[in-house]
Amino acid sequence: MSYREKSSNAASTKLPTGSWSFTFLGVNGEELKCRIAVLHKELSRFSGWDKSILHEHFMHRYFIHEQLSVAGRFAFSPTAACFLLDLLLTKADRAAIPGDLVEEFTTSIVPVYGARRARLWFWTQTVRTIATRNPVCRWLLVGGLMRLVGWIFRHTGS
Amino acid sequence: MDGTDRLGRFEELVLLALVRLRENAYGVTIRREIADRTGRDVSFGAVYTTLDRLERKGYVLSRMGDPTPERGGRAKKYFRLEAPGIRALNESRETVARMGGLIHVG
Repeated sequence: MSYREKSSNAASTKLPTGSWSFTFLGVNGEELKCRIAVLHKELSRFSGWDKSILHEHFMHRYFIHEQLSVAGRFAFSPTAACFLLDLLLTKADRAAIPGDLVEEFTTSIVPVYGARRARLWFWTQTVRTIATRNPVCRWLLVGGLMRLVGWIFRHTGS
Repeated sequence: MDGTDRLGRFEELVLLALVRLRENAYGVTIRREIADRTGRDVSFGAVYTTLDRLERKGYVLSRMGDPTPERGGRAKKYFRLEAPGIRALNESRETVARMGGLIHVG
């Protein structure tokens, strides 16, 4: 069940805060609504820019909590691996493939194998994905294979 | 269908996964379907490379979905089987049936 909460902070005095948009995918949508109501009550003591920062921080924490409850234990997809994927994949792949990896990591791999082995899985998949989807890596792999085949032919022929 | 359009083994598996998954066919579900039913550990890169090739041939069509938080705010890429894909899949399966119909191996 999803719950989308949008709000804008017009009362800012120090910095323009813009608008917030957070989406939650939880097991129980009503529970999330209650949590957000409590959160708003807590935040009502603050104002302006501080409130905006705190709001974002708490929302992030609650979102992570939901992810953890799905995963069953503490595990986050490796940030460096995600960065590498963003850096080395083509624009067409950048949205779909890292998203698939994160989803599989969170929903299937972590609950079965645990955080440490799941991280190893994520890194393995990252390397395999970059090797097959990055044009330069693919060219190097094919070029390397061709050179190897050429070398074998030269040495076995002579 | 000419000789160049013949389906490879993995292409056939991907198309069959699309048939089974219908509207919910994207990277994770396609890979899971193939892994569950064949016992093969396939990478996302291999799945997407095959899907790209099938899309170039006109056998499948892709569209981007909405970003979701469980995927770190990234969108899903959904795939749908098109009429030429269904035709190619049927022809491929008929060819295998014709070749193997009268043979009992073992």
